[in-house]
Amino acid sequence: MRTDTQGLRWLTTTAYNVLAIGLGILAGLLVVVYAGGNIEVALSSLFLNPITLSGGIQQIFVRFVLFYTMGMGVGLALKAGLWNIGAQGQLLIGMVMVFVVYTFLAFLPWPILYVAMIIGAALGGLLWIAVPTILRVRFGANEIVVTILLNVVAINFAFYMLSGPIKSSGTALGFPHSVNLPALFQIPRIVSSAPITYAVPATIAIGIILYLLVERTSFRIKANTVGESLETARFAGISIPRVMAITMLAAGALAGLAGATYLMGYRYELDIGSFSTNYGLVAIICALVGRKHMLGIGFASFFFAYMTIGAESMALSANVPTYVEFAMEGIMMLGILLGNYLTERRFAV
Amino acid sequence: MKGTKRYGITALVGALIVIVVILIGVAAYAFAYPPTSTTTSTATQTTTAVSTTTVTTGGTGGTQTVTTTVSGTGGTQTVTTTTTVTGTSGVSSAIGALKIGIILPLTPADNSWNYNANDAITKLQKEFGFTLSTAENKASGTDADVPAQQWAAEGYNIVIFQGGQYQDEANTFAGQHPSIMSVCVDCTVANYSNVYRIWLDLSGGGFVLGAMAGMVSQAHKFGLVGGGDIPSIWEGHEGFIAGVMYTSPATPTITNTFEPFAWADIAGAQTTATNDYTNGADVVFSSGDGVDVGVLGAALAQPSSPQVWASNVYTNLTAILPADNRILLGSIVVDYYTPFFKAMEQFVNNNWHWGYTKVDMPSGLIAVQPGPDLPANVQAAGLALQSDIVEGAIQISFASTSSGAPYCFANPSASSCADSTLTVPSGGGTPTGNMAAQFNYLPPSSSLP
Amino acid sequence: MSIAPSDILIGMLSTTIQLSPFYLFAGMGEIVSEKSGVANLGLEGIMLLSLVATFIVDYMTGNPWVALLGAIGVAGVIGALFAFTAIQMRVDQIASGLAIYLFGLGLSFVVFTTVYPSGLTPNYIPLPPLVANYDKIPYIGIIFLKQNILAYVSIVFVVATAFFLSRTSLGLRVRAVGENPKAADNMGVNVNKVRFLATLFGALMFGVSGFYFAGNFVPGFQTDVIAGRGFIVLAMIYFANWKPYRALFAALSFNLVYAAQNEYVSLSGFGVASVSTLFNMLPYVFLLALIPVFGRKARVPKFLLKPYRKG
Repeated sequence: MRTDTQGLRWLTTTAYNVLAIGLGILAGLLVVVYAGGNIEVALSSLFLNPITLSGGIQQIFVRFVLFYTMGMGVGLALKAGLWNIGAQGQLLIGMVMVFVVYTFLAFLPWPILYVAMIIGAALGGLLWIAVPTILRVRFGANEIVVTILLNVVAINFAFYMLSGPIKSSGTALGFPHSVNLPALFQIPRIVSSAPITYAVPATIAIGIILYLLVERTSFRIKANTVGESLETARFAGISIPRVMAITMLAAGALAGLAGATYLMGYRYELDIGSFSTNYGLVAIICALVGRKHMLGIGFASFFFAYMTIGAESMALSANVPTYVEFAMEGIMMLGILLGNYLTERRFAV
Repeated sequence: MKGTKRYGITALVGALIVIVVILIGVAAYAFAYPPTSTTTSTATQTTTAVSTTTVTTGGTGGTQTVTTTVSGTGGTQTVTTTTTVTGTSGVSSAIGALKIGIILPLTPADNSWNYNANDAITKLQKEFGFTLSTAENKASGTDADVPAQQWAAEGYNIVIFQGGQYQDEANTFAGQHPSIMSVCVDCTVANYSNVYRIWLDLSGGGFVLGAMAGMVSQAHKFGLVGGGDIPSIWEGHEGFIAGVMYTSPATPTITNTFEPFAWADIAGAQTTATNDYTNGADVVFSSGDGVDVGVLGAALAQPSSPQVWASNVYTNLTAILPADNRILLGSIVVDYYTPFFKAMEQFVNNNWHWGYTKVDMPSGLIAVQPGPDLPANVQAAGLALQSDIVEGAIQISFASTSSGAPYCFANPSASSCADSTLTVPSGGGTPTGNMAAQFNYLPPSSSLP
Repeated sequence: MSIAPSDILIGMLSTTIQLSPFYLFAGMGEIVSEKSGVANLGLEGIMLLSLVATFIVDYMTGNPWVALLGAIGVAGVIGALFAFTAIQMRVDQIASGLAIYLFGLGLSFVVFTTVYPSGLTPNYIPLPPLVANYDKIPYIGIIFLKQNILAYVSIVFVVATAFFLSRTSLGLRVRAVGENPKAADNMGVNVNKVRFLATLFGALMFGVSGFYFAGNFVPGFQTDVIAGRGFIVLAMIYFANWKPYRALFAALSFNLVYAAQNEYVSLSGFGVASVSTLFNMLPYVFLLALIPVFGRKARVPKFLLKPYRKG
């Protein structure tokens, strides 16, 4: 039951979050002004283009699925105090695994192959985070450092796979890229007229399932205790290795799964354009803004999906580099963190 | 305490409401006042004086006077561009009314591929005053689709995809928007009539540079650094290797590397080139944007003696960065201005379907600018060979497979493709040997200046 | 291939010594910062901002030393911001570090494109090599004398940091604040002030790293040009157990492996890009392999990442 204070606290934090987001948007507009861009055009691109442009709505939902799936993983690990900075690497490995399964297990009949591709991606992400997990649980090696290293290794590995085993002899003139997934292996739309695929309700379903499994059971308390203080957890008899392993492996699997839904639901092929993205970081932001809550992350993901597309569109219309979006995200994140601090101070016991 | 809390919350909620109201107001303003369409050029000019520029264009064969008037106060500016043309009059104003977007794989800071394309299109924009929008750092076709679709929705007429990696996307986009000209630079495939191909052949430029390199090198060791193993780049490399084998007095040692992360890998190219130099090479040929940046940087970092050389592609480095002259073997200068203008002209004249421009040395659109610090005889030899190619006396070709790709590009290990010998008959004539690049005729190398 | 093995070796060593100082400056800064309890994950953002400041100031003034000042200045400002939020405001260090990274990543490129929209920049004027005619001196010339003076300053910093942390009273305070801030507080140490200074020092070092990157790694600025190398520093000092000399070893060996595989790839003329990416992974796998070598459990500063509240 929400007490008065808890409700107030939630409201305060949300207020500060909105403030932070407003600051970020303001910063972006400042850049537009400084570069001599047109403010009206910039604003209408930021707020309206994601809905009005063709393909905009599809993009929003594709990113929503991407950020939500990865964000849930990051948030889950964060509950136990573990940072999954390697989400980007696990995403890439998941994408590679989709095509590895597609190429090397092609003898399987269609429905099994389809499912195998998705499971293969999740498995890929899980295996990629297995090493940091083992190192953390058995040897106490900090997972941040190991996952950062593995991110770089993932890019190189994905590039190698893309130029070799899963390369297609297509027409893109030697630029490494995979084959295009035929319609049979794409995630279909729910209704052919609306650009929303089954990935969206599936992701929301996963969110609800995780909510029920984590937020409404004792696992939440166990994870939180591990996250707050290892000694308390030990006293309480919680199996720390088990909690850590479950959260981290789940995080890796989710990031890999995100790769599958992204490829099979939108991109349909793997090329080097996917390597230079920052989706892992945005997922971390969504997890923080959603306050590690399985459903809250969903709302944060939807917002950031809308915002990133709007920011890119704004940058394009105002002839400003699209990198301004990162600066905006950085400011928003800082503002959100400061807002959390101010809320803590106000409600300090 | 409870009183304080309540006060705090009210202030906070008040601030929240104020912010939300401001944001809604701003969005509503954007709704109510959509951007006006009186601007005919992107609003990067903030001058309030009247300026007159006189421009002579080569393409239309006439002189134009372009008068730019900027008027208006406060936030809105109205820019009117009036052009008075003698000669083909309608074309310039028709081009001025266009909306053109260009997609770049990197940024103009590479002094190479992206710089050149951006330079050409902005020169055209200043001259004709069309609306220009640039999207940078689009690594692949899927990334390029986002700005392309936005431009299509905003009524753009021409979208330039500056790179072979956009080939599939350019075709898909062309299929979706039949009235938009989809210019595809360095593409071989056109599936729709509204795809306008600008195809690059660097072999002539590579050959001239290679010939000069073979003459000027003291160590007879050469390095090549490329980004992305694609046919046009590969042809440039093969041309260079052929040139080296043609003029080098001793058997050359050649290292040919393609950077794994392709054009964007400046640091990797710089390290590879530094390796090449440290291993004794004194000429490194580089074939594209970020790679050029890295190789030139490596060359500049080498000591001034023994002399090392590096080349670059697409831009005339002597003209824009004369400080690099001391290590410059030469630049393969590619003229994008003319093909872009040709595309626009054909678009407004409505004879642009299945358009195709080949950019190579015989067409005059690719030229080699020898490094000014090269010995005079080496420069003269290079220019002599260049005229031979332009006049058609020397023709470079590549055997191709049934799908149109160069045969030796697809089969690098075939014995006829090994770049190990190139023998020119004593009086000149068709050379023999294992070479991917085929020549119809070469003068005896002793006859070069 | 008629390239002498000695040439290859010289090339490898020269590259190693050329590339390592970047990691050393940042490594020393992060070691001091983390010893005091603050981990700065925004280091790459600060480096990018310093890097773009370096290029712009160098283009405008033609003087690399002035550019160094500019780089340090920019790094100091951003570092102070981070230090304030992480220490005084006690926000989560990792999250705010990542925020600074994003901010630096975006702002650096936006600033560069605004100042140089056509991309056309003058040539970068680097610090001169130690000895002007270094190539005349066999072997030692290319390996050691080609580097600029800052490269050797980095070695001095390694020694200085080791000395500082273990032998000076301020260094003792820095370590105390990271291991047991409550006890340090009871002894009269201003915990937050020491942490602030340590973090600021770290940021200034990142500025020097950013400056060093220009000219030694790349001759010009492109988007995301540091490409994750800053984050590798975190791994290096972790596996070096926060000991400066071990970090020196980690940096040198990492870059040696990198130089070796780079040489091998260009010489074997793979041509095909794909296989070289497998070799690209070697330096990073090597770092991972250092874990069992340097002992299983790293002795993390006990209060790393934990903000301190007085009283």
